[in-house]
Amino acid sequence: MGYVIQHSHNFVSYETQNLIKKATFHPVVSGLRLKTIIAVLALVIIVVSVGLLLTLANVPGAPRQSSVTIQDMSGRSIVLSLPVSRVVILNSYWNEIASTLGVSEKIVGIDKYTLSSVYVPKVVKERPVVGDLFSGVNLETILSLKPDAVIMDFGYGKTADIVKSLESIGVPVICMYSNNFNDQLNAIRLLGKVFGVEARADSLINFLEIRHSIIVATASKIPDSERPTVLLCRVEKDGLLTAYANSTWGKIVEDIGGINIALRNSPNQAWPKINLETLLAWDPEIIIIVGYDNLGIQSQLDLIMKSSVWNNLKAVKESRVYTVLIGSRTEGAYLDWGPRMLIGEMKLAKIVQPKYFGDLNVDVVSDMLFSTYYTQ
Amino acid sequence: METIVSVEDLSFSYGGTFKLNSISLNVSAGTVLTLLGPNGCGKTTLLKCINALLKPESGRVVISGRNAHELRRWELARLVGYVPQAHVPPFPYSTLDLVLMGRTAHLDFFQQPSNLDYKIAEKALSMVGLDHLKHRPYDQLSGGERQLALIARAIAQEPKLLLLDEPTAHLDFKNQFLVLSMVKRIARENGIGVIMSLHDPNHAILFSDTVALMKNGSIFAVGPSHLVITKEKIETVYEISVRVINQTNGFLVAPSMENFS
Amino acid sequence: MPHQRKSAFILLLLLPLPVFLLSLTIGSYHIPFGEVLAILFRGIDPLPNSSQTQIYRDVIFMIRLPRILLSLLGGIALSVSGASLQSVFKNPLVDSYILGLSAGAGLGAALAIAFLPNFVGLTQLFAFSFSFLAFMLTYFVARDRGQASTVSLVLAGVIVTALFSAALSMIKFFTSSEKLSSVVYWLMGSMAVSGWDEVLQSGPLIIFAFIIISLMRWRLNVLSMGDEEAKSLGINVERDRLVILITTTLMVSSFVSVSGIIGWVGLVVPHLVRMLMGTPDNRIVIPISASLGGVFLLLADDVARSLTSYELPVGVITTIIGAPFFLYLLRRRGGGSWRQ
Repeated sequence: MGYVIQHSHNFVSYETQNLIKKATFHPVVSGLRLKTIIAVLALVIIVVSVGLLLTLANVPGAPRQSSVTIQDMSGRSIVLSLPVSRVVILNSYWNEIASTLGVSEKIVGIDKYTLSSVYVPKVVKERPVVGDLFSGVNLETILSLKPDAVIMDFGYGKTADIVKSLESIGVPVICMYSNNFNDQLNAIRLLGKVFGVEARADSLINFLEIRHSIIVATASKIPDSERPTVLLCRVEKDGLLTAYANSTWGKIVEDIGGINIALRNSPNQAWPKINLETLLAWDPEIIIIVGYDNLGIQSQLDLIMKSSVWNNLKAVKESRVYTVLIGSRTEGAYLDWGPRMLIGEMKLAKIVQPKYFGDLNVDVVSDMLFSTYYTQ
Repeated sequence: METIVSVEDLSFSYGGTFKLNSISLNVSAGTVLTLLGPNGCGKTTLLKCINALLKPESGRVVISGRNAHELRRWELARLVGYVPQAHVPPFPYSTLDLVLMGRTAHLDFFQQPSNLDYKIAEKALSMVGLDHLKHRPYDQLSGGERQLALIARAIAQEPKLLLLDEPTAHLDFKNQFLVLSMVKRIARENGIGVIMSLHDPNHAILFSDTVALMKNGSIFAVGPSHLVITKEKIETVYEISVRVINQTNGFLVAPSMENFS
Repeated sequence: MPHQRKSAFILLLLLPLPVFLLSLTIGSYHIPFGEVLAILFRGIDPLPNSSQTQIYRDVIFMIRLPRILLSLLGGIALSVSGASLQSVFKNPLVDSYILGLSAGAGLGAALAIAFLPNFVGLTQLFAFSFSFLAFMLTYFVARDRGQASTVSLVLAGVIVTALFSAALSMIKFFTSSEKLSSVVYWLMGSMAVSGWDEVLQSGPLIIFAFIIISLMRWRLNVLSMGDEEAKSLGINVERDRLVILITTTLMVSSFVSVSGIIGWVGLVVPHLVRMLMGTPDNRIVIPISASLGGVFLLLADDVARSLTSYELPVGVITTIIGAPFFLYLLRRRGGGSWRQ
């Protein structure tokens, strides 16, 4: 402290001398003024270097007791003590899975988008919001929540920087990933291990895996001649369609015995945009329009039904246009990450292959899933 | 007398048409040369060629023995002070700061004006009688004061040659005379050569040693004012009829009213 | 006047110091003021080996300090380049984005986000390269017979900005929604997860460029008089202007590449400085713009990181403060800042 005060005095006396000289607006000052700037800069640089030195000196962090090494879904090895008791989770679906595993009280911080999920318990949504993966997180808020770990997606937005920053302040980060049903099961398994609730995780995995494998097995036996062409899509405000091609939902269409026409045409794109002419050329037998809520779906329908090609489409003529809710904003939306994905998959199966899956009782499975795992 | 600047057979063209056609002029130390001629005759173009702002097609400008177009800007600015028409700059510097800009050619690339530069600038300001306005923002000065400040700035360059582009434009009757007599006095007292462009033949008569009458990019006549500003020559160049009024100590030119009736 | 201005000069030049200290004590992680001072000035002494103190040190040295320094550096870069370009363009209404820098940085970042793997530093590198590319393009489009006049520079800047923005829209169109959000948020500007890496990436260039501009501050005055006058006064206008354009571009690009686009600082701060100091003299405006610019962005970022439990985009805050304030300055006009 004394060090800096001394410096400030130097500045003042220095400038006071200038002031006397400058009283008649004499220019020597300009040279000295530059020195002042350099002096200020020098001080800033000194502070920076001191900070750097201190942080470098402090790198060896406080040793943790009984720490284990786990591998997260990005392939990184993380050292932390298990099970964790305080966790910040930065995606709504990992919050949802953690809650179905019965550990919602261990979630101490969440991201902005979790607030809009109706499948995350209220108690979790009352936790402090620390930011989100796109605009960034408040590192100090996270630190003040004293988490044992932060759980989050990786590979987009500011995730790389967030991981780097969190690790630099000694907070372990567990990166999660999901691109298909099996990833979901692996994610549930990993979270079960992290929270020390392996048994419950296994039972949930069993519940999902059995039903999923039956559907896939059944669908695999359907002959090609009985597989309809399907377009799973959103209608954008500009009138174009965003199709689900090489994406999780897009691939589910194939798993349940449909031919995903967008995937067949653009095998390398996740969400290709198509215009009405392409739609007419593809002329799928089944069109499934997805949306986050009923209002959104209705306005999508209004928009597409106004178009000239609509009534010429095979799916329209044969009344095989369906709407499906996705995401987590609305009750009844099942096509999303998390255990609900099974219900979404079953519903799609019934739409695409009524002959083979018509007798699937989605409501019973849904009731079982929700009463067993979503009751917190 | 020492020749400050000699313009030798200078031609300048723009877009294929000649704007200046083999101009030759000489100006000696301490004397004032006035460029006189109608709008568009090439006065401003000639000033810009002398100041190397425009590159001539052929011919050369020799200032103190050196070719103006082969000098670097700072070298030229130590020889030539250029006074533009009074204007309002986007940033209202104080009058002293404006005049101080004349010292730029004497500074190194990264150097700021020194005490000495301030002294020279202040001296230039007092030479034109603006000491009392040195801290006033330049844009708050009157038109005449602004023109004087710009002259002071050119003086602060400590040049051998002063170029003035219509220094009386936008000035009132009194200020026109104030500025021009200041220019003549500075030339005399400091041994600086002056080239200025003017609109009024009477100003040329009163304040210059030599007059160059220009027409269509050429020198029509050059010499002492009483030889150049004659009824015939003025009428040819300006294409109006004039009458010359002789006074006891000189003469004046006025347009004949028959032009307008 | 000189006396009064002198005091204001010293005061404003030293202003970053108290704000710097204040900022170190602000944050959503509560650290007692005394602890901050203790850690800051006795940091080298071995501290009591408590984990709480260790966390305090982490918060101060790993979160707050790099971010504060980055804000100061950014404020310097944006406002000093703004002041310089306003002089070079003889126009008090331009800022560092006039040369297409923001559109270039945006396009570079979007390219990296959309088509390249999510590596730390890759987006920054692309943003920096493309914003410099945008400037080069602007300059060469504007060049005619070896001269780039200010008017053609401004026009070329508009054209390059339009081109790059169109390319950016194109990329947005072909990008998945997830990555699209990344691009949009990148453009909003934030220092939320900036650390020492960002300071070290941008700091040296910004300081270097600032020193160059500071040394040329007198030349800036002369350049602001217009090309012909500056030439007559002995300045190689083409060369000096190019030096200033490159220097400011380096400064702004290196900051924008680590922070995203933060607007209004370069426009508002130099105006405020001219108003406060009562002179457009760059020998005063440049150093004071640096200190006030640093203070402005630092305070804005303090708000961004401590007003809520999460992060507000600092670019939004500078706009909310900057735009109305600029309107006020324009209406006030008097104050010796500038006239039409």
